[in-house]
Amino acid sequence: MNLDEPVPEPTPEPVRWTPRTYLLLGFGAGLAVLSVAVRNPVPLFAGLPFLLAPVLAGLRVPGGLAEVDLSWQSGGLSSEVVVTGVLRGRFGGASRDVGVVMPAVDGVTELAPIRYARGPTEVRFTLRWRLHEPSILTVPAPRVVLRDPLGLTERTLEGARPDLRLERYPPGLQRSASLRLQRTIPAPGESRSRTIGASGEFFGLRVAMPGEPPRRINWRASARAGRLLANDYQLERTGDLVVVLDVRPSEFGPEFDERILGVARAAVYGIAEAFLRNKVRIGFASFGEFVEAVPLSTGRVHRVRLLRAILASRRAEVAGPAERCALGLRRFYRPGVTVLVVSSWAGDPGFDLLPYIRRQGFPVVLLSPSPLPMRERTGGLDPADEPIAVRLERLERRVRLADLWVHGPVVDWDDYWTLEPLARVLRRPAYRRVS
Amino acid sequence: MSAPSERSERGGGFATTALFAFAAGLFGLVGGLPGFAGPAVGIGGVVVSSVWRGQRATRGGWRTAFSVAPALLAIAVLALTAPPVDAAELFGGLTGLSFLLWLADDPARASGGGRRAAPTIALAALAVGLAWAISLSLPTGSAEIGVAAGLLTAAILLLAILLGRPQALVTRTGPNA
Repeated sequence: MNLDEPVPEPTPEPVRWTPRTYLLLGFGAGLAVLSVAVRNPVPLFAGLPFLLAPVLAGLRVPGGLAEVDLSWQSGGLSSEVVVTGVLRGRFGGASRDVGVVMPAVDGVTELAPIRYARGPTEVRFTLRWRLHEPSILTVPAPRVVLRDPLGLTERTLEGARPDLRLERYPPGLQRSASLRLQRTIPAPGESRSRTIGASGEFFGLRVAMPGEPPRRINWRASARAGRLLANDYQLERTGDLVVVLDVRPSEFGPEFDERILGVARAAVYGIAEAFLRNKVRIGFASFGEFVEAVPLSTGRVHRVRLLRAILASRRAEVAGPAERCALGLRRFYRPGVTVLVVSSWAGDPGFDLLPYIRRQGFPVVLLSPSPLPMRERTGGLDPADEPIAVRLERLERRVRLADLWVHGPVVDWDDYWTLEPLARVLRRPAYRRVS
Repeated sequence: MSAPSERSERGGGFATTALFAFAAGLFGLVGGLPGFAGPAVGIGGVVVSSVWRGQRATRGGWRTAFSVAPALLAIAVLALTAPPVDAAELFGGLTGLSFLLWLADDPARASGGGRRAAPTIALAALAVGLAWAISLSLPTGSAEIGVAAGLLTAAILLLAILLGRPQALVTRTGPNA
């Protein structure tokens, strides 16, 4: 390669008409044709600006090279999402003509129009959305365009645009730091000392809380770290947890299954996050036709591994038998570990996972996302009859779920924005006891 | 580097809306609809389009593009019912031009769009003015005007087809040209 040879400059993105241009051109041409048809010059005069404007607007689009990078993040609480982004780089024109075109995002409603704050070298924008249900979404990067002042022609600007991960799950478990699960199996390498005190085996160090008793402070470790650290004992640790996500197809159809699976995925991720914060070992398995499992572990790397596995769990085309799920869990996990099954099932008894998992020696809890909130106002019922129908459906579902209580606690989850019913079940003494 | 202003930059667009409504009202007055039906159609179209535009979603696509439809419909009705007189021709052209100004002053975009679009609209206004002056000063029958209109339409459509790739028009290149 000859170094003296000038590097070819990349060409700017082509200028394109917007849909509005075609509308105006068609309107202007239509008026001109009608003017000839009715032998009246007035429609021609009225249509002349519409025919000329797109051509003149095309002449005014700056053709400079542009490279605009996007950095954006999401905020807000519960179902409210505030997306803020910053565009930086070479706009190839005035920043006031730069706009953001968001692709359609399923499960999201816009609350307010996009707002911009523009400077000479950067453009900030804010979007306000409402999520229909808890979900983990990947929002594709928006198109950044430079438009003429009339909005008739536009040029897409290139640049680095990462997708945005939107994670919204019920926040209830985040506040429930006191949740303790039954410790039914020893941790790997764990052997009980015969000289343990009242608090049990030493587990690790943690940051001392205000009002921590002096005997709990690890003074040597605190001196090394320069801040107060306290000892954490095995007895205070919670047990391990395996979350099983049921991705088998249901009678409601693929579209509905995907929607409720989105809620279930968000719940699983929220639960995993909450327990991982307490250094709990978490496993994850999805069951469609076969079991796909992530072994028990904890830590930041495991969090990423779990998130990937949760996002990869898709609705299966074929439903595997419930026994297969239980046997599969037995292959991946030791019997005795608490299993949380997330399944919206409430129908055919042969489809139910709980008795089979229970028989393999796993204490089991069922979290069942109710399909009823999603099916409200979809039956074409009279508004007066709708509450009665919903109530009857809810009662029928409760009766079906009540049969499952013989195998373990069952949580009928019909308010997607809180996991307090599950937290209440897990706070019960049976789930706090250490074996 | 100065930080961008955090205030809402959405312009009101009241002045251009009022101007558009005024032009459409006058076009309706000189038009062929009986009584005050003409101004009512013109102003009504402008108001509906303005409200639609104010309430529209932020995403691109048909919802954004077609908020102009009521105003266009009103202009079409007024133009087709107007008698072939000089005043109607003038106000027809002015209504089209005020529509472009109203379009540029989009409240969803940076304020001052009308001012920035002024050079574009001025060129269109020049063309409309020339055409009206020619039609006013040259004594012609309606048949000749029809032929001229057809030829003009064909020329503009041909130009639009040739410029189907509007980048052909862009001459300025280079970093931040």
